[in-house]
Amino acid sequence: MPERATYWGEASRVRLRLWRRAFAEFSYALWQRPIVLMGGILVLAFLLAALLAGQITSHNPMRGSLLLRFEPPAWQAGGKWAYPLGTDDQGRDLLTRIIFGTRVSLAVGVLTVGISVVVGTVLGAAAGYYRGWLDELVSRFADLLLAFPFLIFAIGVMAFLGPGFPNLVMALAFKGWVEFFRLARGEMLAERAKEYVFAARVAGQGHAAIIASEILPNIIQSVFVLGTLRLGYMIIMEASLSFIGLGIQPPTPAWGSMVASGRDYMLRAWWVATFPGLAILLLVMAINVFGEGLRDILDPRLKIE
Amino acid sequence: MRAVKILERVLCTLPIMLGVAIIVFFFIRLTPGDPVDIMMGRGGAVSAAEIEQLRHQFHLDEPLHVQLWYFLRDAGRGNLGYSYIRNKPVVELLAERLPATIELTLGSLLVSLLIATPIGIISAVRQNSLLDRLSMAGAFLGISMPGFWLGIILILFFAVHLQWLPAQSRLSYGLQLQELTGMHVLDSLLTGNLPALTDSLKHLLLPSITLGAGVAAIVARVLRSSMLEVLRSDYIKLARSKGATEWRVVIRHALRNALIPTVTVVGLQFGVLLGGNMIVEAVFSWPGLGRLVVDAIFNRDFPLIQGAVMIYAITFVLVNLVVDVLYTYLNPQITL
Amino acid sequence: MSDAQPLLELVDLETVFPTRRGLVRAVAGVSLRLQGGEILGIVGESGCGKSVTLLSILGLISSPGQIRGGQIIFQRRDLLALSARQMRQVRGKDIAMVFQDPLSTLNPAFPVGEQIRESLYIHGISSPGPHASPQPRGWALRRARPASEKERVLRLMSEVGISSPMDRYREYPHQFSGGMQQRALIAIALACEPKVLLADEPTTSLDVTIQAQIMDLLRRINREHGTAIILVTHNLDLGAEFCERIAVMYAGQLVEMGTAEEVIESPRHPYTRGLLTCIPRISAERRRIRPIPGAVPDLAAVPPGCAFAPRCEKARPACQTGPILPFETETGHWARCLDGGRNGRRWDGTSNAASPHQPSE
Repeated sequence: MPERATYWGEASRVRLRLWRRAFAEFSYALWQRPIVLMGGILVLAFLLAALLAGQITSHNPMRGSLLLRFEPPAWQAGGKWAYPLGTDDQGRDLLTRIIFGTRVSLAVGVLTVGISVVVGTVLGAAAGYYRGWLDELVSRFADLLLAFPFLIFAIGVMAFLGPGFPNLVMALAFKGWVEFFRLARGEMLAERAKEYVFAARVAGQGHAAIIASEILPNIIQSVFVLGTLRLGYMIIMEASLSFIGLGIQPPTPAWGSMVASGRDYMLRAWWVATFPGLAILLLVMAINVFGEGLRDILDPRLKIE
Repeated sequence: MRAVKILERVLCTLPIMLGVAIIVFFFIRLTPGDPVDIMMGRGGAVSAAEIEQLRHQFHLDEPLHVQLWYFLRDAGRGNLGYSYIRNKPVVELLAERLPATIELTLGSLLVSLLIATPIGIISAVRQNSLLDRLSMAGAFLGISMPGFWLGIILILFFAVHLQWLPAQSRLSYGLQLQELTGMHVLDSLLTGNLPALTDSLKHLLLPSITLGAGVAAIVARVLRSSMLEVLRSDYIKLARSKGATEWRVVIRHALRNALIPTVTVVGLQFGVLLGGNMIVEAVFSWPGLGRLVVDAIFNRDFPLIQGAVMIYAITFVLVNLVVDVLYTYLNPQITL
Repeated sequence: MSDAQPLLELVDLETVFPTRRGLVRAVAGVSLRLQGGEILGIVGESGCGKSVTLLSILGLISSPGQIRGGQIIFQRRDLLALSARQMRQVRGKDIAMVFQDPLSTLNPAFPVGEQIRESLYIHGISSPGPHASPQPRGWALRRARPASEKERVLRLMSEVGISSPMDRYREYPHQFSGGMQQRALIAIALACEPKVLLADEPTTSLDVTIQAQIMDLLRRINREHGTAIILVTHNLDLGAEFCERIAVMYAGQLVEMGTAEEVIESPRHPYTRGLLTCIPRISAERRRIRPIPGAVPDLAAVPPGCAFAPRCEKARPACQTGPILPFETETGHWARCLDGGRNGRRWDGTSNAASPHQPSE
């Protein structure tokens, strides 16, 4: 039996070929930008550290020995290589805690951005497509949320909700979706006026199908780029909230709270507060470098601040 | 008439402020537990009768929308609740600390603009030069750095190691200063108190840099990119063809147009200043609103937190209003 | 062809732009002369380098482009040898330019009147101009300066045909119509009474009726102020109607130059002839419009010899290789072509008048 090439089958084969070519172009563009590539690799390294935290460390991140309090970093006088970055006020190895802290930061960041993206994009696409009362209502609400500075809102919510991982993610995502909503809505408004949408309607496709298969792929790109850029911001937010005690509570290692507790001992043990903060800086910078490089490659005309 | 249009704009913000108040109202209902306890901040044991009386006083026995009405009415009158932890009306507590926060915020804004403006302009004029690349790398660093960590590092370096600048508070112990506005720098200027002036400036410097760094980074980048775009435009060619000096071309023609999108960004960044305010005040033990809130969080002083959040949000709305109006002055193509 | 000292002379001007494709020679050895009060047209299609020529005269080529060679002689000085400061004094005052798209050329943030006044301010011209009331002296002059500048601006505005200048002074560019914007640009250029006006496609973005008005205005300025004008356009008809002499430009080089009648009635270069035949004309005879086959060469890879040779129906092998010396008549009408047509005489490098390679003393 000769194979029947259906319309959809052929379409997806073509799509696959296009995808592969796009991927090849992308890889080449990445290769041409070594700094961006390094950023991406660093992000990957952090990700691996978070996933394999237990395997690559030998100390207990939660409990330490009080005999080993405030060991200095290995390269300083009195330091030991068993504790490369020194120990904290409870004798816990700092490097181990930092590696475990990666889990918290990445989990909060990815989850928050993920929820913001999904909620914001769905709402934005729907609002932009259907318009009407849905658009009005959600847009007004979004404007209202925008009246709050991000951190103020987050602090407000967390202060009343209480610290903890799920609360944190919810609080951050509740403010975070607005940006994606606006982006998706704006792009949807622009796209729905275009001809291919009209053509699909004429061909008889239903609204939801049009949104999903035709319009969304065009919107996804800018959403993705914005998401990457916001990831770093969310991580800093989490760290700031943990710093003032509203985020992840000790003894769970979270970089923000580690800096906070280390702050009291700045004079005798500067490393306790410094290295966790450095970790935040490195991760966020790597994410930002990669995100901006991504934006450059995918569409240099996109200006997202 | 222009004034009427400005008034219109102001009135438009009222619904938003109302919405802000409503949202803040619901914040306090997020907390699990007995509302009276929450209001009291668990400030000690009280008898059952007193609890009942307080419940009535707080209108907690009435339906939600009635409570909302009371809340809004009180807020409109300037009554933001009472802090039982500190035994003072919230408004009073906020007013006490307000000047310090205003001083810090203004100082940070000034620092960030002083850094960002020349860098943004020069980086655009000398695109791809060493200065440009270094500045943009620095700006990148600025947006990736957590504020609280920067503050701590600055303290470590300048206050502890070099001992050049103080690590906390606003004024060294023992210095006298007559308070007029509550803003030390301003007061020492007004009273001609030189030692207090230098001292308060020294205290203001590190916190301002910490808070302003992130904003400076973003503003520098935006200014640079809008300058680059403006410098490519035709009217710059015309200005040069008139025989204008390069200085005039850049500052009078280019900058004037590049400021337009930049001002909007600065307005938005004010939100970052307000938010980061809390963090920086905590790091530097700066006795302002932010520190008050952080302590209040620690003490579970919920009415205070509620009042403070509302004040911050309303300030942000007002600042954006000002920026909006300013924008119409800058861009002649937009009428109010 | 007069032997008088030219007001402005370009000698072998070369302006290049380094690009990824290679070095683009936008202006590849252009020589021409402009007499005082003369109207000269440079005609060619888009991308042939005519605008770049004008920009080069004023030194407005921004890096990475640069003027690589040649001389621009104005008032006995080589403009290319001037310092930045000296050049700034020439710009806007002795030589001024009118640009193509007035809406994007005017600064949207400033009122139009102020932009005109700026020309006066930059060059320190504060007098209200001739036929005005006596000047105040001393300290009164400082205070009176902006006022008298404004007076002069208002006069300029009415001279270029902007109605109710008093009201219009404060208005912004986006409030002006296209024609009025262009008049404002002309006012800016005229403010300091320049000797040369460089007009880069001044009417291309305007309606046809407005075009005619603007061209009339330019003609009037040329008559009343004696301002020489170099008009750059892709519209050969416009050039023919308006200019006294026409230079035809192709791929960065001048290929033909002569009076308007000479060039239009008896064109000597195949390119000019091609241009003329591809313009639709309302005339008694029916004539086919024949477009010129082929396309303009990439300016980064101009073939040696005649740049037009690949598209020329009269091309010979010699056209692709050797230097093409211009072919000139007694009246000074020359064409850079080996096939000069009748009545021509090959330029042998020793004739004097209109020799493009020797700046006259």
